[in-house]
Amino acid sequence: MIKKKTLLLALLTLIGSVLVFAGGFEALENSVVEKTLPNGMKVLILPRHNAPVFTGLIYADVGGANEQQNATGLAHIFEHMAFKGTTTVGTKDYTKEKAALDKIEKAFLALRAARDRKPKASDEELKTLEDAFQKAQEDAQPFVVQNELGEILEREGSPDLNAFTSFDQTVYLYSLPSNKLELWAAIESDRFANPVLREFYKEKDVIMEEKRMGESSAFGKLLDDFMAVAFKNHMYRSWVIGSMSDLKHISRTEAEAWFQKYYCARNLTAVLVGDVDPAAAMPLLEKYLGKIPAGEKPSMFVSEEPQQRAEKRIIMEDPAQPFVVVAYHKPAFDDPDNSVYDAIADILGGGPSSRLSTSLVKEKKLALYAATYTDLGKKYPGLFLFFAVPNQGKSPEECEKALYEEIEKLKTTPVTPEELEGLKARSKANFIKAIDNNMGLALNLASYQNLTGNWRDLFRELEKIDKVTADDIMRIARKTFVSTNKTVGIIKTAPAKDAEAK
Amino acid sequence: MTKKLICLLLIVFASLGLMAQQQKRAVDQLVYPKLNDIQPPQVVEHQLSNGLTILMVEDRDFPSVNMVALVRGGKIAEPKEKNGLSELLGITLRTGGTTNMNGDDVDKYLDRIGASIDSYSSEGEVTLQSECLKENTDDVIKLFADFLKQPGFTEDKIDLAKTQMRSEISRRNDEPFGVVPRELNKILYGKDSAYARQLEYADLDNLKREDLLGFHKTWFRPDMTYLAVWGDFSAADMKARLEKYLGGWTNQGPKPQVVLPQIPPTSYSVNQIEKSDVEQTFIFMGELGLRYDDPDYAPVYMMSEILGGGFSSRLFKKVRTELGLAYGAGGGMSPAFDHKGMFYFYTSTKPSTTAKALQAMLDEIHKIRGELVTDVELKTAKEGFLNRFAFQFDSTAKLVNRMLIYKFYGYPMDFNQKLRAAVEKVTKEDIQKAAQNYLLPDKLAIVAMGKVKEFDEPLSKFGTVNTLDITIPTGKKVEMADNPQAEGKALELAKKAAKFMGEPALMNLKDIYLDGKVSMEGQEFPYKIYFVFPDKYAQELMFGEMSLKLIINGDKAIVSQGGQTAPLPDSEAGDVRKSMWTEANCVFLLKSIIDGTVKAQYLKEGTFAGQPHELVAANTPQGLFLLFIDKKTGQLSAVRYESMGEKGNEDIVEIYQNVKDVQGLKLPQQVTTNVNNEPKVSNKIWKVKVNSGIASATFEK
Repeated sequence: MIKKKTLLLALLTLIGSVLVFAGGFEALENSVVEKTLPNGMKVLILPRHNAPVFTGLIYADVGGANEQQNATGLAHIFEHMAFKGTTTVGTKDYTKEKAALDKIEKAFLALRAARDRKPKASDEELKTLEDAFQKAQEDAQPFVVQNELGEILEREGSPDLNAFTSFDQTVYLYSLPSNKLELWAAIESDRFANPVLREFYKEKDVIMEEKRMGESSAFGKLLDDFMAVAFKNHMYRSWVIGSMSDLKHISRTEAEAWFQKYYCARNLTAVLVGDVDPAAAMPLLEKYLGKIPAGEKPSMFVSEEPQQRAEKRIIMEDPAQPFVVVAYHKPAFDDPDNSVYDAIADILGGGPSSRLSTSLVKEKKLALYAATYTDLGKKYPGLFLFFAVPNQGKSPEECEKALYEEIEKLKTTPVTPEELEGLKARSKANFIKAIDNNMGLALNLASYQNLTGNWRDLFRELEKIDKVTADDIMRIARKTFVSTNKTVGIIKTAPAKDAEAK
Repeated sequence: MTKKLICLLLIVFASLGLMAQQQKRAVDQLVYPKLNDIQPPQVVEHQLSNGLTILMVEDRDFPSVNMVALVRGGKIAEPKEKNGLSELLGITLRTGGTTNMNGDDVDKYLDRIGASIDSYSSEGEVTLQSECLKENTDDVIKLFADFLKQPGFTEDKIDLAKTQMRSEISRRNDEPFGVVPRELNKILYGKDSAYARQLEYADLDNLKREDLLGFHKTWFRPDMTYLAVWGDFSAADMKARLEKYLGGWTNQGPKPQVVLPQIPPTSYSVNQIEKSDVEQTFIFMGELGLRYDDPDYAPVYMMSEILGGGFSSRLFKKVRTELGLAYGAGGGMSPAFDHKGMFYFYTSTKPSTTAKALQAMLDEIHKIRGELVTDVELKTAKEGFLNRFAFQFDSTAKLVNRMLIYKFYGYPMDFNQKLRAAVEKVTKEDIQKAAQNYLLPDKLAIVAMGKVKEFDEPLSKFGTVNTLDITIPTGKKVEMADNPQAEGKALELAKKAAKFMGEPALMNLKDIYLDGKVSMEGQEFPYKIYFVFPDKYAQELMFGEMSLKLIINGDKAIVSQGGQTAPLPDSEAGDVRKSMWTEANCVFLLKSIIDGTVKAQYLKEGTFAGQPHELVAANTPQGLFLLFIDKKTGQLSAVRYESMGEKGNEDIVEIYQNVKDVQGLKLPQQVTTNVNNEPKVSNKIWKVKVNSGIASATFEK
């Protein structure tokens, strides 16, 4: 919600921070307590008692990738709606409110049907329906206690109330003082057992503003187009925020159906990390989270991306900072070679002396910044990105060429033993950074549990990195970094400059 | 029944009703156990004999060691005429390596061991920090100490940093949430203040390696440096290591004086920035705030939380939740340790709801001054703060950094405990008093950036509107002191040049159209120029079938191709605006000097192409132009100016040749442009039309 890091931002800031985990942390691994509640919900608790606080997280195994054409943005809309309260939180009188909400929905569906009609409905008819819809919304407003859920949590001391939606996951996470564990359980249970999607249409306006804000940046605009070009069939093609027309079109009925399908206990994981006693906590979690209906684990089928046949390229002209991104399709996160991709990402883009920094930034002075990113889409086959921000007076094309030189080297020359040694040291350091805070640890446990099916895989990553060889890197580079597997995206600053350069 | 009994029953029913309602809500029935005690780790304080202050915390949870050093003297310590020195130092301190190991080798070494060292400079201090695995502690401390004692500041890394800084200058208007607070800051602290001063290209040319060495020599000294170390070590062992590597660092010369910038008083203002390439209007408003140690800090902080902090705040509720106008809305105070911080409130909304959102924000500011906040609001704000308190201790890094900054600015180490006690005592009346005393509507500065023409109402509704120009200056900054004599002579010379050109025709000139051919680097393109004085100008370049048009239309700058238009980036727009002054033998510049809209001064006599010429400097918003006027004939032979090229500032001279009479106006048919003394571009003009009544649609797309 409010402090949500957008994926766009994450892409720029998480550069090179490939989450690689070292061994030698058995004590931490062994202190995780896991349980599956009778309703099928997975629970993980990791006690850490250095301060009287904890982070609680609910992970829904659903994201933008599970959406359908015509209703893109639904995963993220629901995430917003999960802050609107329940049958008892956020309302003055739910019985009366429900009647008012039903009227809004009826009015919206009538309006929408008229809007969708071909040939077009008359302006008068639309105006009448529009007025009825506005009126119905106004009638429901008196029953609302706005932001009550957020207010309770802020008042009780949550410093970081948050949620985010990605292609693969929808995550609700925040911290509280550790004596408020029962509050967390009660709120999360109520939120996913008895949600009320009140103020739905007003919240959609907020989301449309969020989309406009994202598209005030050239980078945001490029990525939006870029994914649609890189993916032909798979839903990674549609950026999580959704299309403007779908955002306008989606009704509360569809959001409720989404909730019914994807927010059943069998599709949720709860994680607690911090000053929590598992023996005392488990009964509380059973009492509260046990109220969430079990449901059926939904199908995770998404149209597969077919083999790419030709290189693809988009060029956007924009007044902003020029930029180049070169992407190749790569397997999903649970592929046995995933660590090899992580190793390549680190050796090329990991530190100030990484290959891309050394070549593009320091030696050739072509770029202000050059790095790699492997995590655009994890659950299904996603993308491996190389990108560069051109230096003043340098073109994205010059940077692109320099990126290829580095990519080609990978195919022909083995990485050095020193590079592999550095990779392992950085992996260990990155691991420590990732586990020295409750929230990072909670998010990683939940992600591994859902992406590989076992949270323990989090602690196996280093062993996998240790096994990566120079030959592995050549093999994967030769297989993956070929032009028929490639999509290039460019932001060009001013056409005027090119004219002068000729 | 007696009246008393009825009353009693009513009370009982009322409370039963209340209970019935509460029973529905688990969240209201919860009884929280006592919070486990906060047991902050022990901070060991130590001072070396040279005065270096050290804080140490043993934290054996993970096998790593972290360090942070704060050195007094950031932006506030740089001389005004060396603007950017502290930023350059912040970067090159680390990238420039040490006198023992160059920057690239440091990068390689640290990457090999999975460690990092970083440096940056801020308002009041320079920060150096490191992270490493336990097994490399000794080597990393030694390197860290070298960075403090003997940084390398090598020329190659100074150049690299300047290139990066130049690029940052060129991109500084890309990110709306960067631009608007920056402009607000300049209004509140004054544009030349160290708290707001921004960097320009010209500043960078002025920064040398000696300046960095000088700054380092003055400010990097153990008695003004504060160091924190935490991680997997024993304090006794760490003390010995620090003594070994930093004990020999000596204080040289007298202790430099920290002189804080003066902050001038401010007044109400409404400021707008036209930006056509953003989808929303970005609104910030603010005024000067207070220091952390202000006695009123606690009530003012609670007031700002109620107004702008988080989900529960009035601004969020009003602008986002109730009106649905924005994704984000809020704000608060950003206090400082040694000077007045600021209050700021922000939102971003579509252009057609700009005034509506702005009004809603102003209403909330007035409201919190006018009436008491509710009990629930006070409770939410206070309890939120008190309940969050435990999070100040949830990581050793957070704790140590807080202690270090307290130490650095001379605050008591239990400052946050005292603040907590003060917050507990805040009342509704205190909050209203805080709002009335500190949130002064007549001091508020409002800045809004967006597509001004699409606003629901003009901002003049809120007061006299200042239009802020965020164009990035390309060349050297110019400030012409008044000199009536030189100005008189310049006017005289401008008139002389006008006379040569054909004065009546020049003065009657309303628009001009040129058709010609430009050749550069072995290629030729036909082009056309359209110019309607004073502010409509277009350059059209032809590439075979395609044409590309760069258009200035008042405040707007656009590029148009095949009927599609896009905003022109500021740096490009600046170049095009520059051409307006020099187009067609500087006709517009001459007219502007004569009618007094551009200030010009006579400089001196000089020679150009072997002939004696008079030199006149004209100061335009796009920089300085130097006119060469033939002493004998009065012909304007050439103009000289600076332009931002790909590799820094370029010296441009346009030479006007083959003058021919067109409808009473003598204009050149050939213009040769020298870039850094080399002829680079040549323009041939074969057709000129004057006062032909160029259609205004020409400047639309």
